[in-house]
Amino acid sequence: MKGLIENIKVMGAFLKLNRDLFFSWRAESVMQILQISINVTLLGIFARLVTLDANIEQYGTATFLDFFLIGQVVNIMVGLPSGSVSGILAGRSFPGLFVTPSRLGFIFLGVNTWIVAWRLLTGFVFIAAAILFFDMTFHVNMGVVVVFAFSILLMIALDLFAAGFIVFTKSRQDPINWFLRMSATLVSGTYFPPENLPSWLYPISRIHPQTYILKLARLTIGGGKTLSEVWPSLVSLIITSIIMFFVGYAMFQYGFRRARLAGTLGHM
Amino acid sequence: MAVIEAVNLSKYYEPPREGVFGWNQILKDIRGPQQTLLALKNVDLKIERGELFGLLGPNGAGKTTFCKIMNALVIPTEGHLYINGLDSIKDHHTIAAHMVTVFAGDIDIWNIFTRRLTVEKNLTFMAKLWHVPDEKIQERIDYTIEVMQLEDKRKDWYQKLSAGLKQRVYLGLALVVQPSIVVLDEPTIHLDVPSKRVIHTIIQEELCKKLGCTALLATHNMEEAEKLCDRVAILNKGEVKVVDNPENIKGFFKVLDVLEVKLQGAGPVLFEKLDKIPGIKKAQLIKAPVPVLRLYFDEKEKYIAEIIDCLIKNAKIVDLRLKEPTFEDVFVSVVEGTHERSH
Repeated sequence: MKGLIENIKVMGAFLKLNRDLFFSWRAESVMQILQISINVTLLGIFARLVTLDANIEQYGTATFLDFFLIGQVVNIMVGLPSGSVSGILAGRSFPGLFVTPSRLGFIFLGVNTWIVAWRLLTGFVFIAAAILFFDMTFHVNMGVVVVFAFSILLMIALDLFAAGFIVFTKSRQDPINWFLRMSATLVSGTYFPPENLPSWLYPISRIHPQTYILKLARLTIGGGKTLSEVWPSLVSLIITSIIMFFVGYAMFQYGFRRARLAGTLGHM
Repeated sequence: MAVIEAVNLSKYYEPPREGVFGWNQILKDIRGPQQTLLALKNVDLKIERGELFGLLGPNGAGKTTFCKIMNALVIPTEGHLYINGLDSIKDHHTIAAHMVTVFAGDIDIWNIFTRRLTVEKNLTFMAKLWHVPDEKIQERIDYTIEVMQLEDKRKDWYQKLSAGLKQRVYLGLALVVQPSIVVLDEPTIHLDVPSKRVIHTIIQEELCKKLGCTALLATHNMEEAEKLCDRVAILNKGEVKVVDNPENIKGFFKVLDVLEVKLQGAGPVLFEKLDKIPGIKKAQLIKAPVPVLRLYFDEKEKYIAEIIDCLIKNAKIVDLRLKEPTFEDVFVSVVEGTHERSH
């Protein structure tokens, strides 16, 4: 119990450190806040101007505006764990953190606390602006919570896998996160329904986890579907997330051990 | 019980890649790591409580690998390293609570300090990472800043500090955490003489005498090891060649005598004749500004007259000194394998 409290304090110390760092450069803080405002305005205007000849109803959203804005919300939320482990492991300060008595899991959580808090704040600002200025429909129920919880777990699992890959290959490149981010934007249905993709790209959309996450999120947030209504589709997301978490963790452990055997931690 | 104990510790690394691509490389990757590059070989060491122990060796001797195994950053190929009776790999978190390592040689590579934060905020953060009780943090930081002579730098961003001051802050981490074990990997490398002196005083007076830490100092600086350490292990090519206190080591090995002669008009004839004197094991000519000939020889009583006679007859001697073997000479002779035990 004492160890747990100490490690929670470590997370608090990371939060304070990163907050101080964030506000240590006034120009950067102002630019970040400006960036959120511009993003919200531009995305809202864009979504109002663009119309799409597609079957939006199957996603539970009444209009393309809702379809588009919920896509953005999912992008922000599901993107939270991206680079949360792999980014730290690839960083040069990692060995210095590893030699402290703080537990590895709490170090990863600690390093990410501020950035997650900041991105969440960004997400909430976006949601609030979308509801207030662009009339976005936003339902909140258990379905929404469960969809986000397991989507984030799946992304953590994929990032653990990416971390294992990076530390194993000693490469600064992160092809797994790169592919996920790039393809999420293009084929998973963030901006338009995947059915509108050319037929040769559609299979990639079918295997991309974010395609299913987006569909479930739109059904629950936009369409107001409850947990029981989306349960049959949700089960596969839950099972995939849990299996992938163990696979990702195993890859992380393997890569981490290989790096310690080769003496290459911090060599990326 | 020894605080730090290495038992038959060996570490082999993968050899450097011959290329990134190519079938040979791919086949090697498939076969798995080929650990053939020696870093440590059957190292057995015991470091007692409160000792300031030096791990002395040239570059590539295995010093940093030893420090990394202590911190579980590297897993040994064979053997174990015990710290307070705990295995350095399996019990890393328990050990880390009582140990601080200053990888000062890598300060700009493994920098755990945040560049855009003040010295004080950085030290506060580090104290929390080592679970220092909240009520003691400020008191220890004040003490550290005073001892480190960093009063006027307390509110400065870390990135504004010079290399010497950064190293002082890094060492200050040990004063804030107050662990029972301190590992110092090349703590004065790249530092000027005044900065080195400050670091030496802090290690000796504050960490060892005042706080009673057991310290492991990995260095290739003989003067530092001789000045600071209670005992020294000379490490070369991964093997421990000798372990004792610096004075004993000097007496323990019969080192070649050194005759240093400033010469004028030394030609090939002199060197041909010196070559014929069997007692001379090595001759070294340093050319600038006045040529200095350094002769390493044994059996002083038997050959000294013959050597001086040869020098007088074949060159003009400007200055001549018979030098006492230093700790550096011992180190060089051990590393070069030219030493001979006197008993």
